[in-house]
Amino acid sequence: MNPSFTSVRTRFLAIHLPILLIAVLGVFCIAEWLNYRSEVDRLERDLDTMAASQSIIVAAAVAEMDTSQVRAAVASAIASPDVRGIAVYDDDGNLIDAYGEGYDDAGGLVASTGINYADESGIRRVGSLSIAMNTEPTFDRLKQRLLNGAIFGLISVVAAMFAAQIAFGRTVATPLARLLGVIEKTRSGKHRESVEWNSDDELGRVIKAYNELQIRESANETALKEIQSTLESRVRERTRDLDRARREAIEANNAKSEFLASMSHELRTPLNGVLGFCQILKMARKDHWTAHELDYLEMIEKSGDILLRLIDQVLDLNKIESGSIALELEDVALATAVEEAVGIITAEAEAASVLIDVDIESFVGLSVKADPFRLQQVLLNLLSNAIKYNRENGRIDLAGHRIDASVEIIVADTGIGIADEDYERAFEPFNRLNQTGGTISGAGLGLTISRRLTEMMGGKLAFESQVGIGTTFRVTLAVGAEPQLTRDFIRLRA
Amino acid sequence: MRAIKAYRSILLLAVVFSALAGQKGAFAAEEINVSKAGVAIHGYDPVAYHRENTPVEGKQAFSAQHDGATYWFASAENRDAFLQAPDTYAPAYGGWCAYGVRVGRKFNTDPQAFGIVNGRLYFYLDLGTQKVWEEDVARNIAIADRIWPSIKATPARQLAE
Repeated sequence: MNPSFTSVRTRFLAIHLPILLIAVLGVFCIAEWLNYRSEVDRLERDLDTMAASQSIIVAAAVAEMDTSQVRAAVASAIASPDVRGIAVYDDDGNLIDAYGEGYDDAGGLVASTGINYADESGIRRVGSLSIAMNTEPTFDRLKQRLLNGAIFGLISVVAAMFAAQIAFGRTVATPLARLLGVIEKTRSGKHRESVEWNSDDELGRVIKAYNELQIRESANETALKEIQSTLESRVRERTRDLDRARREAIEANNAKSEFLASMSHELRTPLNGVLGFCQILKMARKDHWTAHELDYLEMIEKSGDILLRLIDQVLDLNKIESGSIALELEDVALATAVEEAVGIITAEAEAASVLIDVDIESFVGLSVKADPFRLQQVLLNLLSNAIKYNRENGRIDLAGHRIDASVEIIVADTGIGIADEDYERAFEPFNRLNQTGGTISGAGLGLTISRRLTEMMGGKLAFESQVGIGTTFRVTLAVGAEPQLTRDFIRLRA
Repeated sequence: MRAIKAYRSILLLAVVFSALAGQKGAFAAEEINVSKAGVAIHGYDPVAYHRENTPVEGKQAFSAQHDGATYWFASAENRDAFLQAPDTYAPAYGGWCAYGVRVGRKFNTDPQAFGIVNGRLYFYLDLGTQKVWEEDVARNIAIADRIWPSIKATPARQLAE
């Protein structure tokens, strides 16, 4: 509990007690004051009556100055317990007779009155008398009454407080304490339980509402726990399903790769037969064939070549995808590699009347980390594409330069170009960007294979293009050691 | 809620009572011996003294005015009788003590100390004074009758000096 905590019971009493005390005290004071006033009034009235009565009784005796008669009257007056003292004076103020005390006490409860005597001749004032009232019995009674009242008031206050305490405890403190206890228990996280209280008042409703809340909360918690546990088991199930699906997919892919590998192999053997015999036919009876027949033979040979290359590509892609291709990275001198690739492709370029312009100077002294055979494959693919997709009398520019720790080989053509939105599709297998049929041959595997091979050699293949103007491919590879060949040697060879 | 209403009405009643108690001296008719509220013979029925020869307390419900004083009666019948002949039923000397008047004074009276002589109602200070008075009724009445006109309008307090 924090130090400023004050219980509701204390607060209640702090308000209740002063009001109760003031009310009881106020009622008590008013009642006692009224009682006192009426007692004093009665006393004064009695005193006046007594004085009047005495003035009548002693009138004749005073008028005749019969002192023994005066004495008798005064003596009978003092016999009354209410009379404290009495004195009779003549008309000149001289004392005739007196009994008791207090009759000359100006501050006390004293009544003075004149004594008149009247007969047929008229009224005469013959003297006066003073009479003092015995107030003790009355004031004793008042005091007793005050004491009784005080005791009674005190008892009333104590009883009222006690009653208030009990009533407060029954209606407020007990249910509050129970409610607080249950709330503390719930807060300390032990468990939820209901407050045992049943009353048809505000607190009763509060506690009833709290209990309903508790029941709902615990139902929610149970539901949440159930959901959690089912969720876990569902996650486990799904993971198992996914695992199975993945295994199945891998198995299916492996089966496909195996199938493709064996298929390619099975296709190559008869195709080699066709090509071989085609060449034999051309060579063996060279003079026998008419020009037309020779054209047909060459067409057969050319188609076979294309088919062979396609099979090779499918095989390559298959090997790359199954990860069974093995690369041997070494330092490759670019000048040599580019020269060789251009040499191979020159015939094709001339046939398509495309000019290949190699900036051989830019390649001198550059070397890359690459598998020489696969690098040549990449360059040939790019050059072949650049020829195939070029316009008539188009050109291809080849150049190379070093950027930090890598070397960039640029193959720029003046072809039809590739739209930006087709960038990624250009690298997908069997995708020829709608250039189906027509004059352009190939299965659309070249770029896919080239990119994968470049990446396997730790490099990158990218391009930028403008539709109708041309496409520039950039092969980026890690820089290799200084090539052995000298510039002069290169020049000589060129 | 009900308790609070009860408290409120009690409080209201107390205020009204204290206001009523405050209008004292509204009937300062010195000639007739009346209470602060202007009621004569301490609220006793003057007609009952005549008819039943005994003190009977009147009720405020049956009241009548006479010479600036209020008289209370035990019944409507008594009140009507009084209103027919108020001077017959009203006490002698304005209801002041007869013996007091005899000696030139205005004393209050005890409703129990009374006497009817020749159809007139007399009141006395107390039973003792009544005894003294009755020793010589005729002479006392004669003296008092003579003195009464001279002190009628004088306040009681002034006569006591």
